[in-house]
Amino acid sequence: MPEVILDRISKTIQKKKILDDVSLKIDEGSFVCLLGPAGGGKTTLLKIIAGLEVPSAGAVYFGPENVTGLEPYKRDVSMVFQDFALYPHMSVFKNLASPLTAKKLSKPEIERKVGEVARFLKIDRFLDRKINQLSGGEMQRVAIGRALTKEAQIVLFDEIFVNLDYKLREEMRVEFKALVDELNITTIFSSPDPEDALSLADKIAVVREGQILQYGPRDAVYQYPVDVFTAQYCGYPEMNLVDCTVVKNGGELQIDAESFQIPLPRETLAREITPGSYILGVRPEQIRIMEERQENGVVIPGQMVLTEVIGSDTIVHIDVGRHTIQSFVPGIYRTITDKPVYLNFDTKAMYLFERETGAFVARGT
Amino acid sequence: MDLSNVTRYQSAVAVEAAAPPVVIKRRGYLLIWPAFLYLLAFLIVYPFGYNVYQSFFEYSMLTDTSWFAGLKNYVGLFTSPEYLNSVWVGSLIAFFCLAIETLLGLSIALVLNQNFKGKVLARILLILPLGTIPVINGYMFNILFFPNASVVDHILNILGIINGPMNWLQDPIKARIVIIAMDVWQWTSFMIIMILAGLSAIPESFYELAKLDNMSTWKTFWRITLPKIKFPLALAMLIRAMDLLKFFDGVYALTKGGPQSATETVSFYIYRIGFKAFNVGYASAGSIIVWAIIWVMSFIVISKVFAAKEKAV
Amino acid sequence: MQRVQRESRAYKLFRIVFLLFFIAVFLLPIWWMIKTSIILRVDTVVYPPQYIPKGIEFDGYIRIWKDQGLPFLYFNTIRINILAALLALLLGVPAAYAASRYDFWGKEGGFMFTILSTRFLPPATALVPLYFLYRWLGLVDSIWGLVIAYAGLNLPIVVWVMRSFIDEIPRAMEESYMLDGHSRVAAFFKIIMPLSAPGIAAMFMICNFLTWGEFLLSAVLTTTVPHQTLPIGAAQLEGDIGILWQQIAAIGVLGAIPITLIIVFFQRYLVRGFSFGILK
Repeated sequence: MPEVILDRISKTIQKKKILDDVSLKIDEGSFVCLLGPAGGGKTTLLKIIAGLEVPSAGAVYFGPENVTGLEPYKRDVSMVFQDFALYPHMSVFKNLASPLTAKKLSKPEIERKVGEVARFLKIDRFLDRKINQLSGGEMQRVAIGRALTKEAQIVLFDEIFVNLDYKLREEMRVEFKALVDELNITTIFSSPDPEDALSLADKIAVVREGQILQYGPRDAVYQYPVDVFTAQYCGYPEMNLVDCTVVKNGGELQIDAESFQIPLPRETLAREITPGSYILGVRPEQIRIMEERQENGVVIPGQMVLTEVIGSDTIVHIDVGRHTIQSFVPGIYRTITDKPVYLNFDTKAMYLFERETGAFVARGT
Repeated sequence: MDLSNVTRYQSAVAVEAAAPPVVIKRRGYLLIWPAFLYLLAFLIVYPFGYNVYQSFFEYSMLTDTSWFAGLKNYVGLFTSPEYLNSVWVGSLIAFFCLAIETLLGLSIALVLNQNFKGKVLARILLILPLGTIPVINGYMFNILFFPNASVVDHILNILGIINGPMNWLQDPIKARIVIIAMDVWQWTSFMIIMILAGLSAIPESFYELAKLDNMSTWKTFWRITLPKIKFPLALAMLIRAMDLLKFFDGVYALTKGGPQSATETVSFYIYRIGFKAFNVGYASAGSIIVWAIIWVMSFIVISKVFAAKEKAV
Repeated sequence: MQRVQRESRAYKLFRIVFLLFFIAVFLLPIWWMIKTSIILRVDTVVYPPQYIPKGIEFDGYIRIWKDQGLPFLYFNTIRINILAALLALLLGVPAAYAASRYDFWGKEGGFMFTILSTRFLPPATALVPLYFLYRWLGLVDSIWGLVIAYAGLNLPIVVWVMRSFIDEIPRAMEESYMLDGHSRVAAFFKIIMPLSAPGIAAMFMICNFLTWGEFLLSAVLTTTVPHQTLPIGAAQLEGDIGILWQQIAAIGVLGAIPITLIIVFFQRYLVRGFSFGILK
């Protein structure tokens, strides 16, 4: 099972730079998620790995072998497309058998292997059906099944959950995780949805405007985002960001965000910082809501303005003067408007970013 | 957590030296060449080149010699009342044909796209004219509008619209109307097919949404139907416009350009001047001008409509 | 696609009147052609006209069969049109595929527009040079000369329409097929061809419609009956002694039959084949 190496890949399509000097090393058997907004170059990157696009500069290696110019049908890669790309003029069976007919296997062999995959994905009942007789979820399974019958070492998934509705997406994600764990293949998965990345991937590469902003183990990317964009993008709901200044107050540093102040005694942050303009970030899931003032951690009084129930969790919007802060709490809550509430979070959960560049500065310890 | 992870991700890959740039040629695009060469050989180089060449020469049938004339043919054409008349007549006929065919084609297609009993039969009957032979239609229309025995006159008289014979083909304006009617009769069917094809590609859900929004029929047409069929409609209109500006068969069979060259289109003028009067230089220059007019028109249509389609995709 | 909509009684009535009116107008010349071909010669042009013929004769059909070489004309027209349509598709579909799937220098403004612009020349102009060219190639008065010319006339439309048709087939489908391990050529034949079959079929029919009654090229490039087509046969019936309406109409009726059969049996596919968004 080879590792996949992208070495200084650039791609220009019709004078537009889609990928700009991208390098990535994907370990064999790992699950990497390319996370980022639409139009950032994720699909192009996958197509370059698959051989469907040729990079304008740079090279692709599968293990030691340079495969940059190799035709897609000679590569040990399969891919599941966003729109599934099932062949509408063939039955489900023929769709699943397509990689096997390409290998010129015997008929009983093909039937055996298709049967195996179909049972594995619980689509063996539909084998005779036409593609247009399938539901979205069934089409998804057939598409995955077709990628599996090839028995390729590297499987690419291009935003495959985007076209599914919320409920189905949740279900498929769980099943998909189990499936991939069982198969032990190198998986590269692109998604605009941080939940996909955080629940599925070993490693996350944040892709934006043709560049990889950050690449690392999932927890590292989540806990140590390199900049404001990554911090905000990698997490749902998005990280709260508040413009602030760090000032010297007596001997002590203090964060001044106009609506509230947070003292910064030594050792609060992992490194020393100088007074200046910063952005303060705290993830919504790190913020608790108290009805009574409490003494440990940071406490900010505010007024609840809105609650959004998502599944069995609630996003609470709290007005703290000039800013609205979101808190993500398990369970279902109703808006309390008649009395103030208190936001409470640990200084460990604080991030500081440079105001000008958005680059990461420090986080609490 | 180790802070080294936080550094901006750079080239973490250590492969030998810089990989050489890969030049890969995928040669599928060469498949456009057979068609291109074919047209180049049979239509562009020879007929077109010949016309360009001849348009700069004068030819005498008496001595069977030709001599270089520079732009004389072009200048002559632009000052020739006959040629200018044929351009005017040709454009007039083309404009009315295209406008009527489009409007009729659109209304009939919209009705045929609805659900009702006998729809398939209506559809078949309304595209039948497409199967007829233009020259023979010319003769048939000749009978229908025959002087003193016109079937159309008879029907209009019965309906009380006119009184007495119309002598269609003797009057310049009426003769043009007959020419236009004949083309509209034969080619509206083509428009119907193309527009029906465009309409059938609109998913029903679009109309349901419009209904939910309580859009009026008129608004639904402008906001949903028309934008969706823009492309097939433009393509059909372009094909028709190209053929209409070269309009020949109907004129040949029905009026031979008369009366008093009231129905002489450019194509017919070129035919007459080139084949009957053997003024090859004039005929060639005349065609080059027509070619240029259609070229400019198509270029504008294509760069506006079709470029917009590219972007939408 | 049908609209689910409750229609008022008045609208339904309007629709019936609207359609009946146009069907009547559209069928009148066709009926007149059929009628003229069988009506007694003396009753061809009379006033008031006979909408239903009082007496009939089949003289016109017999005469074109005997004197005009109808079997030749008929057979020629059919095979010339079919061969020309096939040739246009053979050249045009690969070109459309190239234009749809590849980016290359000069594609839109160069190749595609030049291809289209060959349809801009008035047919009368192409006659003389084509005649010289054909004389040089020995193609005058041969059915192949017309096949080549008609294919050339239709090629621009085939390339343009098929290109937009193939544009609608998602690239992901071929890409996926190639990743299954099939070659690019296999993807063309197993994915592009089957999925564009409705378009190809419709295009085949349209090609036949567009050149079926072509007159001018046929008139100049063929000189003897064994290589001529129906429209020429009809035009030759207009002579010094007047116009032989019966025979002309008889040729018109017989000439309209093949295309009419195609329309009757394949109109559904014709419309579907042209639905550009067929896969969406």
